[in-house]
Amino acid sequence: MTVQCELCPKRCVIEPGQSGDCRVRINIDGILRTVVYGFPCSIHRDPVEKKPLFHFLPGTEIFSLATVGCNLHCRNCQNWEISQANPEDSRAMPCPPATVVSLAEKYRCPSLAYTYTDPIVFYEYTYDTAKLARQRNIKNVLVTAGYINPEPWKRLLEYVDAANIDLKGITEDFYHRVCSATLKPVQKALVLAKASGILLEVTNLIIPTLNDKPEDIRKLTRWIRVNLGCDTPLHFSRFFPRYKMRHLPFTSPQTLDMARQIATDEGLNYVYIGNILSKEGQNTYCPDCQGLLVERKGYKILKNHLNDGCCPNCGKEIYGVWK
Amino acid sequence: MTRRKFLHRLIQTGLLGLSGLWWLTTRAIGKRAVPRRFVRAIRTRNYPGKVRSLPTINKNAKWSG
Repeated sequence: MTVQCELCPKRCVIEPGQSGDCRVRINIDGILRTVVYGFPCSIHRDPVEKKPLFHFLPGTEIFSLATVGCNLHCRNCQNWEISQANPEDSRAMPCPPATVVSLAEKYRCPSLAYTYTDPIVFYEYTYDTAKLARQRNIKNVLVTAGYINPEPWKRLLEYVDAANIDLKGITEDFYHRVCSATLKPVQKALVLAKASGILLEVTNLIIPTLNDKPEDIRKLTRWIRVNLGCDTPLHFSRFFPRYKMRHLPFTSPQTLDMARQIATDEGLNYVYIGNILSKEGQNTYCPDCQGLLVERKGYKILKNHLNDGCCPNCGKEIYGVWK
Repeated sequence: MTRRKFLHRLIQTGLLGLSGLWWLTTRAIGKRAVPRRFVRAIRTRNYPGKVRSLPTINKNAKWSG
């Protein structure tokens, strides 16, 4: 019997023996099954700044994992070797939720990240692990493209503490041409995430000639300010030619600086530049007195001047989870 | 009834029957069953690819994110 997966907006109708667009959710005898539950292909300990999360437990290590598969097929994907892999062609490790949480405790990681590919496609694994981690006082972080239907998203957000969600572009055309997806569900997921009260940061990868026009960047930052608030940290990330977009150049530092300037002019308080060393673009400044709050170099924290999450000069409370 | 009228009625009845048969096969019986809808998928016991043991987890990922 045919099944329909209602997890993401693609709503794949899957014939027996076939998989959905994500490659990991399969119709076996009329039942939708996930073949990657408890089988991550990648487990690592990363600095939390690598996710990137700059306003969440700075300077700590985050236990990070991923399975193969993704419901998007971005032509610029940096992790395409795992995100676009078939499970049957990949190598994975048996690691059920209880083991993940025990390992995070063993390595003294205060948080767990579901990242590298997209945790939406290993939804059940993420959900069960996050639920268990919450019971053991370990925080849960999602690094995702946010391409999910509202109901399962709301259910998952109950166990999430922070997320970095990609807003890859601000036009339907971009999402359609580059990511095989649509923009509206992502915007809805962003709004729901913010409304749920989790710590939310947004990433926008700037790809030369595709989404680097000043008017697009202005439109994107304006949308964030209006719908998510001016305190939502925004990371402009540098594009590297990868996968099916090797013909495009790297994003220039000038374009990233221009984007940061536009976002700041539009009223966003915390705008960062990633995937490149940038002196000012990696630091956190107080939006009121402009004092330097957190000084970073790459993924390292050089100095953290915050005083209980507040600016030491003017006392302004800075958006984030600081301890 | 003339022979012409008889043939006319025969053709009419035949066409009606054929169109009824067509409707039954394509619209009623042949209509695709509504698929079963799932949000949560059920886990499988085995992984379809290769399985290796857990390594020592002491490195940063080479992956983005």
